[in-house]
Amino acid sequence: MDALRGDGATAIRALFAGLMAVVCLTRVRRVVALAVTTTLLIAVITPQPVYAQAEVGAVVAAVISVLNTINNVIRGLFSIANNVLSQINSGMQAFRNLMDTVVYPQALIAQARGMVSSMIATFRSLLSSIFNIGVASAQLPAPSALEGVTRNRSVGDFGALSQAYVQTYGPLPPAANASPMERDLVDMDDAAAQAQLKTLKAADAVSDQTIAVSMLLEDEGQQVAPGTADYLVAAGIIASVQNQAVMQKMIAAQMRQEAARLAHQNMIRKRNAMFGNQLRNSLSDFMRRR
Amino acid sequence: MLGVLHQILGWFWEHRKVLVALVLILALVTPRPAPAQFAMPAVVAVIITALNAVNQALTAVIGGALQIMNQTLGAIHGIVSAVQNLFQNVVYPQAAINRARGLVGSVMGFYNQIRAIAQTPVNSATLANPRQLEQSALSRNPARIGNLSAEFQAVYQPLPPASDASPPARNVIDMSDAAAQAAMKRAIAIDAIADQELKAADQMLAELQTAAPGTASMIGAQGSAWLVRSHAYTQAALADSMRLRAIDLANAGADMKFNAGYAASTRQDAGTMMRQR
Repeated sequence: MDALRGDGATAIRALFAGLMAVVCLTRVRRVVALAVTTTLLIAVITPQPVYAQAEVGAVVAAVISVLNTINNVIRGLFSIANNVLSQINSGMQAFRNLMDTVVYPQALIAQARGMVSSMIATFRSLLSSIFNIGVASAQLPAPSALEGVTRNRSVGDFGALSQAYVQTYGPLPPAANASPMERDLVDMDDAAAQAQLKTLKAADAVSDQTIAVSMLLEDEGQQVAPGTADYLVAAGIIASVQNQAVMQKMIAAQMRQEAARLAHQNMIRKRNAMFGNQLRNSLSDFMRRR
Repeated sequence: MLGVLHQILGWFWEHRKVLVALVLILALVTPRPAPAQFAMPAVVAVIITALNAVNQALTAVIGGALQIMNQTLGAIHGIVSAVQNLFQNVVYPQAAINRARGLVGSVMGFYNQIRAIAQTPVNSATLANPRQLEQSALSRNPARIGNLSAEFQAVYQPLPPASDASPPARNVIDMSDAAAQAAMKRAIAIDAIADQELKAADQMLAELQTAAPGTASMIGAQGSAWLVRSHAYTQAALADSMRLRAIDLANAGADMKFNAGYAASTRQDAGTMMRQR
């Protein structure tokens, strides 16, 4: 009968009072009986409100525990995290200062570009004027033509060079005028000399191209960014490899010429030996006849 | 109006039993208001105080710390942005990268011209033997080195037989021929090496054209290695050239020695002749 205590009991008492009044008025017993039975059943079945089981002391203890966790554990962790972030911030600031003021200071970048411009202004035209001083000095027509064609820094007129060479040094002697051995020697000497003169013309043209490359790299140096200077450096180094290759070709040409000169002198020795032997034989024949 | 009211009341009176039962059932079925679970004011006050304390602690400890963190992270973000800006606009601007790559292409163009110039034919011999020798000497083809000795002898004649020249003279002639032939053979090899170097340089320039700013120095390092190697080849070529000069000088010395020998024997022969007369 716990369900009939408290507010529930008050409601039931009021209900009974109402029922008694209705009974008095209507005297309908069946209705009354039905109503009383239904009321009692519902009163028994309806769940009663439940009061909170937790006690106030436990709630307070839990709250204090949470506060302790916040104040002691979380505060400490946040303090550590803040210290770490502060150190990261200091490191980043130092890195930025390093980049801004030591590695890539804007003033020094501008100074480096300015140095390139200044060097261009100082040296380029001066070197160009020195480099292009005329050195021709031949007076007669054929040598003047040969000198001109050998110094014109062009590879498109090798035919003109051969003509000027023959006009200056003479053609290959006809077969009637020289022995085959001598003609071979003369032809080889002429060929080596002409090849060397043509190689020098090519070397002059290459030299012009190489100077153009150097000026291209230098011009770019006026605008290059610190991070793209490596492109210029690498291009310059690779160009140096190519220059070395061209120099090797020039040295090879020089070696061919020197070898031809040495072979020519040696050929004279061989010829002298041969002629000496012929002379000795002729003198022996002459002496025997006498 | 009064009539309508009378009818309604009459209807209620007729159905009074049903209405009474209905009222009873509704009174029982209608849910009653539930009382609060903590109804006591003191308990409520304690709980509110505790919640306030938790709130203050959260605000002071976690909120404060998060605020500091936020400020620090904001500062870090500012620095990272500044550094990123420095790298994007000052150190590695895209326009400068594109310009540098374009410059590499221009350098390649120049060296294509240089290669064409360096390969311009310079031969001019007209007779058969000299032409053969010249073709081999200018061939830039190491496979032709084996033919060069025979072609050389066809133009410059073989070593004279022992009957034609003294042993010292034959030694000098043989040494000079050897030096001259070696120089011509080395010239072919050096030409071929130079061609390979030009090819390698082309390859490196092509790679440099597509390199990233960070990898351009790697191509530069490879170029440095090739430059060192190339210097070595140049030194070797120079050494060969110097060897040739040394043999030339030795020949000049040998000629003077021969002349001194010939002069002494001539003097001796003249003295003998004078004594006999």
